[in-house]
Amino acid sequence: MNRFARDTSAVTAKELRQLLRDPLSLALTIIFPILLIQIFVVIVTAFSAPSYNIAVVVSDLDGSSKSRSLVDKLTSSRLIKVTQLLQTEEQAYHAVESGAATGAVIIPKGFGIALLNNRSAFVILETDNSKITSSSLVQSAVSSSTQALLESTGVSLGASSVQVIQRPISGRPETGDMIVPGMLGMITILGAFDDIVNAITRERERGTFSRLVLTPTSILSIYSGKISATVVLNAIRTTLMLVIFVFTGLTIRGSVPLVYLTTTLIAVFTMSLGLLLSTKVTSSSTLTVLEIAITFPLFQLAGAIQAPELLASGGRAMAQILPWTYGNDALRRVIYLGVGFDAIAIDLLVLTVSSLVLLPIATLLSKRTI
Amino acid sequence: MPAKAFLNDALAVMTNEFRLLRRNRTAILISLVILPLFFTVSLGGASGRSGESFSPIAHLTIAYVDNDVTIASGRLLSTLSSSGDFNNLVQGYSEDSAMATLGTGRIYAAIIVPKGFEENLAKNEQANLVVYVDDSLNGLGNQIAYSIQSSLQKFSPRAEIRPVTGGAQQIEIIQKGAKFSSFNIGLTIILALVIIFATFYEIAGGMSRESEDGTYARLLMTPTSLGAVVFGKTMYDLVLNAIRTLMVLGLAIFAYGARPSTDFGTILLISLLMALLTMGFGFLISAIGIGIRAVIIIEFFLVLFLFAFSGFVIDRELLRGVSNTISYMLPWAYGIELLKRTILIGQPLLTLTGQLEFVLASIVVFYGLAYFLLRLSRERLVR
Amino acid sequence: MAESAITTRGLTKVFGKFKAVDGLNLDVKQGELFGLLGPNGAGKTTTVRMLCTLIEPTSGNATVAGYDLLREAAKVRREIGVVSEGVMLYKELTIEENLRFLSKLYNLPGGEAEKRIAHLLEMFRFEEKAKRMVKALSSGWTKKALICAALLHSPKILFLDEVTSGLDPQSAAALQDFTRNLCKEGVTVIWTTHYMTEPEKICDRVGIVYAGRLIQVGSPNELKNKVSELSVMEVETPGLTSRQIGKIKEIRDVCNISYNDPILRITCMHDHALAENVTRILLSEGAKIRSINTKGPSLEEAFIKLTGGEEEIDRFLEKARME
Repeated sequence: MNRFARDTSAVTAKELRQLLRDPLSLALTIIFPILLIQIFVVIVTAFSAPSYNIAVVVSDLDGSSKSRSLVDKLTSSRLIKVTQLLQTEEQAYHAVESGAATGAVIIPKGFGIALLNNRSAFVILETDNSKITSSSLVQSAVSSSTQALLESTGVSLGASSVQVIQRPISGRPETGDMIVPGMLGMITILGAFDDIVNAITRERERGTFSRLVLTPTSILSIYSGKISATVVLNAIRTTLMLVIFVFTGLTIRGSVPLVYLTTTLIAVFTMSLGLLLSTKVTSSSTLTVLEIAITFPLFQLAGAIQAPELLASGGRAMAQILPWTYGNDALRRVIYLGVGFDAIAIDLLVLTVSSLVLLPIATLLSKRTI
Repeated sequence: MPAKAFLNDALAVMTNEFRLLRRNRTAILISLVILPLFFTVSLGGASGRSGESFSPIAHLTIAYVDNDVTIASGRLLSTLSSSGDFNNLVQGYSEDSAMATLGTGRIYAAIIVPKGFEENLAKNEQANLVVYVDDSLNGLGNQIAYSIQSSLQKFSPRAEIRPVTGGAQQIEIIQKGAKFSSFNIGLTIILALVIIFATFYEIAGGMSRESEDGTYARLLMTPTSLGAVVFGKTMYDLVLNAIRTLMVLGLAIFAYGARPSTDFGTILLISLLMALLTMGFGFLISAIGIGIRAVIIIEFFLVLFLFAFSGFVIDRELLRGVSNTISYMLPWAYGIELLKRTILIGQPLLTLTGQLEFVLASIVVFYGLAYFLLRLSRERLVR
Repeated sequence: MAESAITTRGLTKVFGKFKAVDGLNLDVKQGELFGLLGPNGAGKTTTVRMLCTLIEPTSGNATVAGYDLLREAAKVRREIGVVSEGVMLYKELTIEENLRFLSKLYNLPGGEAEKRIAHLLEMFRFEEKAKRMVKALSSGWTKKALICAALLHSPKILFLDEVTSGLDPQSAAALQDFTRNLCKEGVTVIWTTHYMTEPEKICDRVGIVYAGRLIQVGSPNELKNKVSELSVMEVETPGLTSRQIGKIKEIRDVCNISYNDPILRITCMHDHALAENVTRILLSEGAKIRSINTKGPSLEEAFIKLTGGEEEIDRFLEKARME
């Protein structure tokens, strides 16, 4: 056991020393999460803008005061921008179909008279639904404009109504967070995958891995040493991410050591899988591409951004067999709900057991002869 | 250089690339099978089959706490249960026990009907529904609120009373415009992603590896021209991208029921244009003379960049300021638009002249710059 | 007079602030086996890379195989073959596949290409190794594969850059013989090396390159005659101690001493009394003398003398390492 610990710590120290002597790699491994998060912030910021300029055309075939009033309300909407007032319905449809506008509102003849005679009226809204968000914003804008028109004409909106009062339990802001705990999970995964490429395949290519295996040290010690080095790097990444969380206003309700423990186990599992893959894929560049190819689907399936509970049934089934899902779930519950070790014990157990299964297999498959 | 000799050399380079690929089973597996498969299957998992509408929250256990116990609250329960969004409403929780259970994963939300619900409705006053939701699950709160609001459209507190929302007079909005399943929308993104990701790696990574291995110097030592080398590699990668497009579409159509609104030829053409765009960029990057590791890092950030600015996830018109400017300068964004408008809406390709022109011009610019830089940086690349 | 295969005038290459090749003026005759001799970092490989169009000179001009190096680079490439560091074969392909691919790029007609490939594989005794991927070959066989590739299109000029490094003595000797035979068939060969003994054995003429400059050109004998004032004495005397060697060093006019037990090699300016002085000192120190031999300088000694001595070479090598 002493021997194992000694060899492992020697390999760990070597790994960290190598990284310190390679400033570019060190910078990348540290700065990488920050750059990634900036991109996500850009993505999320788009949804919280106070106003948009989604192009909408209007065809007022009625020409009444009511229809003009509706056009005014559409024009003053903060969600859309009325770019053209067209003469015909066909022109309006064409604008959407050609991509010139995201929405076309057609106010039919008789609109004003119907409202004046206290009858229901209608408008036609054509949207370019290939733009999911924009089209739904257009629908919201038109809906609120028509409601506003009715209210402004003194129309009662109904004898009674039911108001839904939503009470979230996590204390997150209503507009949501710019960065969510699942991203910490993804940064951990990406970082661990990058570490494995450096740790094994690149060493093989340089010939220094054969140097290691020619010593009396065991493969298990070598792998453990490399995983230990990743644990240290992961701690640095986690710290950086927690700092970013705090700066972006995300409140960490739970225990910070638990966050470190969770990300450590995610990293260890990812490394174990990477070690297994590296026994078959010996080129560092191919391994990196494979790992990125695995990681991108994980954004969808492992609960990085959207809860896996909201996926289709096939997606939920896939999410359930991925150990990373449990890791991201544990992070979510610790950070947002402040749960303790007991509550996430099963999640951590899944990660631990998965690592314990993969690591010996990787060790066995690894060839000592290079 | 005579055209025939040029084409012969390019063909020789292309054939050689295939020969090299044949020897690298892992590369074939990753590039032509794993990448299209993983991406398409994850899309299908996330959004369900095309044409299959599913409620993301229907299966979730949600507590229904009826503190009113009236006909109205009973009818509300029926309305919610029959909406298709709330297939797993459970009763038997009190407000306190529901609150205590929320966050454990046993229930995901609790709908509380307060005492006086029916009374308020009968007096034509506003009635409240309180919904406690585990909003630590991103997206859940919005989904539940939306589903409840939709169900309320059909709710009437008594059999003889019409649904509560809307009054005697209302303005109906008749929605037009083709509707697409999330899968179909996701398909355009996945197709673009697979092509861009694999192509950039194959070209920029391939050139970088050749430079490091010394085989690029070998090529340059022969009478063949740089143009023939670039053209040969381009043809090689076009073939691979055709196979990839086939893989993604095949899976999407046969496994997930996708129904593109345009023919395979149009989709293939647009995919190959996207591939050419990425290849041009890949050659340009390779002219800098960076190592394979830097190539992979650039590739990763390229894909993320495209996610942020190309209309993959956010519609470009929603981006503000600098993001908006970047978005309208990115050629891939126009490629995505071509894919979306043809696959989803069925708009004829030739009517998308603006987008086509931008993509074609960008291809010419990338290739032109790449060729110029490759000539200029010859020394750096022949280590 | 044999036509010039390669002519350079003022050929210079500067990398940043470092002048790797400085004003090279060279004339290599057709069918000649020309050696470029110099230590690591002297500029030999850079010279080769310029002459085979891999990199462009900073200044100066050259003609190779009758074509202008800069203006007719493509024509130059048709006439030359290169074995040099950084010009490799595809590791994932067999030697046969590599040669077939290259034959297409050299526009060899199909039938002729196959004949040529078969001939080369037979000549170098590849046999079953021809079906192995290049990455599975040992370094010696890889070298042979590179030479096959360089000879595939029957070039007029062959650049062999440090081609024997890493080879066992027999393979190196066989390669040297092969190269001499090539020259007899009219191929011009530029042979670069840092092994001092090689050019002496095989080259018609040798250019001594040092610090980017061509110091001297001549046949090995001509170069040795340039330092004819040197004498070399070899004494077979086993078990010398460093103290004893130190005593020998104190003799006046001794240029260089090397001791590889049991051979003591002393280079000095012509000194008729050298043998006597050395013998006297060795005997007085109690050394055993088995034989004494006096001869003219080797090419190595000529190189050292012509380039300013060992200390100067050490200084140059250190500078090259730092850069």
